Amino acid sequence: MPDYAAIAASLTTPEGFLAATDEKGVFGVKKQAKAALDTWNEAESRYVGAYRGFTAPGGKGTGFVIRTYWDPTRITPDLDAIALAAQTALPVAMTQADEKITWKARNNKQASFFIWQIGHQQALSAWFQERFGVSACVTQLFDRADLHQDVAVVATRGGVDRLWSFTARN
Amino acid sequence: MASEPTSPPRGRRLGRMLWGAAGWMLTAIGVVAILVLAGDASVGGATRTVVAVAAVLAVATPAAVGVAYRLLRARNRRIESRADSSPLSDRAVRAQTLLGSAALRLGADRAVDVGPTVLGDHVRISESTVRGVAPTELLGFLWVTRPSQPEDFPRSPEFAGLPEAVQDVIVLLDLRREVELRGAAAARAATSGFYHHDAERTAAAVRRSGNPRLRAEFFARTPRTETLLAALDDPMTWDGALHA
Repeated sequence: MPDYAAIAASLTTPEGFLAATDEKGVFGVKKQAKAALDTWNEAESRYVGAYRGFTAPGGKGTGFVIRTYWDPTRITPDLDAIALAAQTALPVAMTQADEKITWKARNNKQASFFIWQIGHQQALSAWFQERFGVSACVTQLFDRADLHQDVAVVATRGGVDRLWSFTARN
Repeated sequence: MASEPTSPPRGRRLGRMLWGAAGWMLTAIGVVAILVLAGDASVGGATRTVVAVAAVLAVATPAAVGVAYRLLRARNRRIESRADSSPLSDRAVRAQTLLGSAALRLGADRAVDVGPTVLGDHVRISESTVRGVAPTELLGFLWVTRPSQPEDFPRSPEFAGLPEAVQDVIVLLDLRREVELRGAAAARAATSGFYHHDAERTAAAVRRSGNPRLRAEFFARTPRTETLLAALDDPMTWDGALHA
């Protein structure tokens, strides 16, 4: 398991953000790191926790990924049960609707860091909260890494989670 | 770290490749047969008939199996949802499972949409599915599949049709989840929620469990979340219900 506390402690400078991200070489990433630090510092509540992606039916092309994230000090979700529910019980209409909402709400100035912005009232997130205690959103699957990244950095402000996920190095 | 978490074992991959190769070969033989027949006038009528029948069967069988599965499943559901009826026969349950996996194997999806339904049937909790689960695996099965049940599962005929002991296990597993998600006090005071059962129903299941520490903590004036979770995780809680 990644050392979430150590990662949280390293997020005090833009360099700390750059060191953690999976996308160091991207154009403009240094400027984004500065903005990401501001987002992190201005958040009303924040945590570094666990991330996991699950494939879901109903998508076209590469398909959908359900991005789930949670604070492991508060909850230990059963990942097998989540995978099963995503395949069988999750309504496809809800998945498709959430993909549209999430894509519209994304922060495209923050493509490398806090790109996803998830409202607490989003139906799909509430669905996963009620059953598993994890938050979630749906996007197109862009990269195989979307499925097995393991760290979520979540900065909450005004009832909206800003989500940045990456793979821990250890 | 970069390993594929979902790649199947090598034996199964090889098996799937062989199946795929066999399918391609059969297709190729069929195409060659049709070409030869079309070009050669000396081939007899009997041979032509055999090839024509085989072609029609290859096209129609998957769809027919898919439809048969759908019909049988609807029938089984109807019988099971009647409160007064006797449990489904083993034969009906086996036939449904068999048709379901046959439909998946034959790729009936292209004609009739069966994929999610067959998967969903594997994870449904009801008298007929629980019957086939070994006692040692029942707890794990119920734990993993419970979140995939419909919203009103605690009030559904499926739940009502389960043996009392299995109902107790589900109620206690739901209590376990509710306590972890909301905390002990909120879980006991709750009146709604995905994992919520009537207060009396939960109390009855706790009373019947073989764990005095669970009873003590659950009925305490101010139950503590940590202690209640520890008591629920104690194997003693489940022994009584699972080996009844």
